[in-house]
Amino acid sequence: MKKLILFCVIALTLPNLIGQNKVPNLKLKKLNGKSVMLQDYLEKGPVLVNFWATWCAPCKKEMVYLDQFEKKYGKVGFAVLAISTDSQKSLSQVRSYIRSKKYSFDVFLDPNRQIFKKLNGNLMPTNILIDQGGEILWRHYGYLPGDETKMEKEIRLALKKSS
Amino acid sequence: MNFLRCFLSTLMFVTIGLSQISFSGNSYIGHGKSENDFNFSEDRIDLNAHWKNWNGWMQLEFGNPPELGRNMKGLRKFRLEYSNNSYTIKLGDLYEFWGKGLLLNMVDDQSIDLDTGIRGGLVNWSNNKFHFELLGGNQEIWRLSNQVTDFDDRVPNYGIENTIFAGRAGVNYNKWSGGFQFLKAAEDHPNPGTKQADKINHQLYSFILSYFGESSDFNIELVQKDVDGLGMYSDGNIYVGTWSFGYSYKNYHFANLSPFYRWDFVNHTGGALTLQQMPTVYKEHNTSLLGKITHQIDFNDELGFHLRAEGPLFDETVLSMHYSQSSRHNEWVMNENWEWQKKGGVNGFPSTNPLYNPFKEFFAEINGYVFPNRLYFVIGFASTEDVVDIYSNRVSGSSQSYHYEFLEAKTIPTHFTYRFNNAYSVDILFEYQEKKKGVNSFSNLPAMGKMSFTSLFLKDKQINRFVSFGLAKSPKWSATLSMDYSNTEEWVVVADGRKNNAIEKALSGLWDTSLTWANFEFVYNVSEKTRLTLSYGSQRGGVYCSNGVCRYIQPFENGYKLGINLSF
Repeated sequence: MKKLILFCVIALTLPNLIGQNKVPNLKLKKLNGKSVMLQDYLEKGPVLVNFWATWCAPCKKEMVYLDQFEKKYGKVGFAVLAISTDSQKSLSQVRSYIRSKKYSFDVFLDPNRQIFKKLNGNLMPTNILIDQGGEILWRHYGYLPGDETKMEKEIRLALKKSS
Repeated sequence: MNFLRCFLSTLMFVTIGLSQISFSGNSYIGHGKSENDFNFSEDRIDLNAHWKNWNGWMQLEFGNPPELGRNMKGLRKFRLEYSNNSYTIKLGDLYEFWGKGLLLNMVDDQSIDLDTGIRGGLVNWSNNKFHFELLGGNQEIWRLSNQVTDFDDRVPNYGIENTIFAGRAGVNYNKWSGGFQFLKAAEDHPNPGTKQADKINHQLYSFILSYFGESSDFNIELVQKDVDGLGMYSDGNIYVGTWSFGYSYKNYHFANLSPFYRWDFVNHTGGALTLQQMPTVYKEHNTSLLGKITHQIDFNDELGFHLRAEGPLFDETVLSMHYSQSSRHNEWVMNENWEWQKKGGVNGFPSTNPLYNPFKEFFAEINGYVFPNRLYFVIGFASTEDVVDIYSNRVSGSSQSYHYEFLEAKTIPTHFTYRFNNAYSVDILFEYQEKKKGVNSFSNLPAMGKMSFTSLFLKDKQINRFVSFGLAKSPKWSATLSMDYSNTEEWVVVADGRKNNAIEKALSGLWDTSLTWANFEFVYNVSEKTRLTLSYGSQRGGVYCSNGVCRYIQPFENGYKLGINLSF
């Protein structure tokens, strides 16, 4: 029990004492195999990175709102980057799912979860809102119906900050 | 005085240095205690750091014992990485995925306790047209086998060591891309007979070609292993408006193992490497009952295809249909000394002959929103047939007799989530399954009477129902009651017996709960960065699969689990 308490204390306090919470300039792999840098998107405005998979039901429930946000705030520089963590077993179904839903946001692949781990993804779905300076403004794990209200509020705040 | 000066300057240097570095991480704390000794205490912390083009990662684990796997205390993984637009250099624990995974796919899958990563180094150079990559290092892969001593459902008991050297080069041209890959592995394979490690060398070469167009895409990967191991995978899609029609095809032939030795990776070497985690080419299921009857792929010897169609029915509703079929390449026959011998063969398309271990599944699902984003629903149907094992196959003149184990199931998974005007929502999952599992015996001798069936269940057919009711308030909490019911159990399992927990006892007035596993789970989001999960009850044991690799997970009987996820 002592070890557990010590572990919790270290996990909660150490990172607050040192450093800052910025994301590295990640290289993201598009569906066509070509790469793009995260910074290319951040230059235009804040970005919501969403980790999802074709087998994840809460991710699918949430995606309809991500598409709405992309369409609503895309004109002012905001972008949703949907990173699929599907492994080789379901990778071939990612593009067909996105097309069938007519989603307009950009989709990327992370089959061995390297980007997911670098951004401290924990559960599915994971959402991370990043400002133009690369700083993490908001992070959310899982999806419960209604979470999109809070998400939209955070996006508005990020846009306000960037303007 | 000198010491103090030295200490203060070091402290200042470290503080200034660290303030330039961005730190982040997450941790998981998991504890469980049950009546059947499925106890665990597993704490993990992942730390990421980055500064300019440098990235660092380390993972600490304190598992004594972990939920699955061997005990671990301390540093489990680490990696240092430098990358710019063209170059990437990595040192430490690597997890790479090349092509479609036929030659190299390193995974760290804790759900089945499979880790195929290597500890070594990697150099990559790429621009818009070309890429080159080299990697090398060592790996230790632990798996579970009943061919060696100390068998335990939760702890792997057989480990091999590999020294790996691999490289790849590729080119992109407009919508096309292609590449070549090679891998050399020197394996130390412990031999239980001699108590020494056999040295085995493997060489693999592969070729990849891809096309990515606006209305279609296509991929093919071919791999050759040593002299006679061959693997091929291909997939493609055609897009017609918002509908897509796709296929996947596999033809993996790396070893010829008789039904008796088919899964014995201890005494038989030379087949597919564990780091060849190839596409399974069937629909991946994540529902409770369908997940338990997932086909276990044989990466050494299997060919098959997967056809799919997906598209919108109404505005927010999608219909998805899948058909998969596979089999082994050969039939195996026993000679007069009861030894297995290979016979016949197929090479293009899978056989439906039961002696080729055929598998087929049809799956259809409608999912989406109705009542403008109020009700989310999923309704599916799956029909599964799988010949799991061949027990015997004897031919003598014109007479033939054989026995094989098969599984046949019809499953209806459904899921409904209704969102109210306020932040509340209800979530209902209902899954129904009729399952037949048993041994078919055939003989064309007049006295024996053709085909007979012996069920492996106490009843002819097993009926399973999985129900869960959830109530949630966004973004704070959710509470879920799950019940997994069955009308009968397998002969080998039923002897274990079990006691009902408090929830099951409360339900006993409604139905016979001797084969009901009930569980209550409460999730509380303490903050955006902290999530607490508490559960009480029982969870049914069974075979759980990930990427076609399956393992038996023992039941969790009448206990509690605590989980905390933190990020920073």
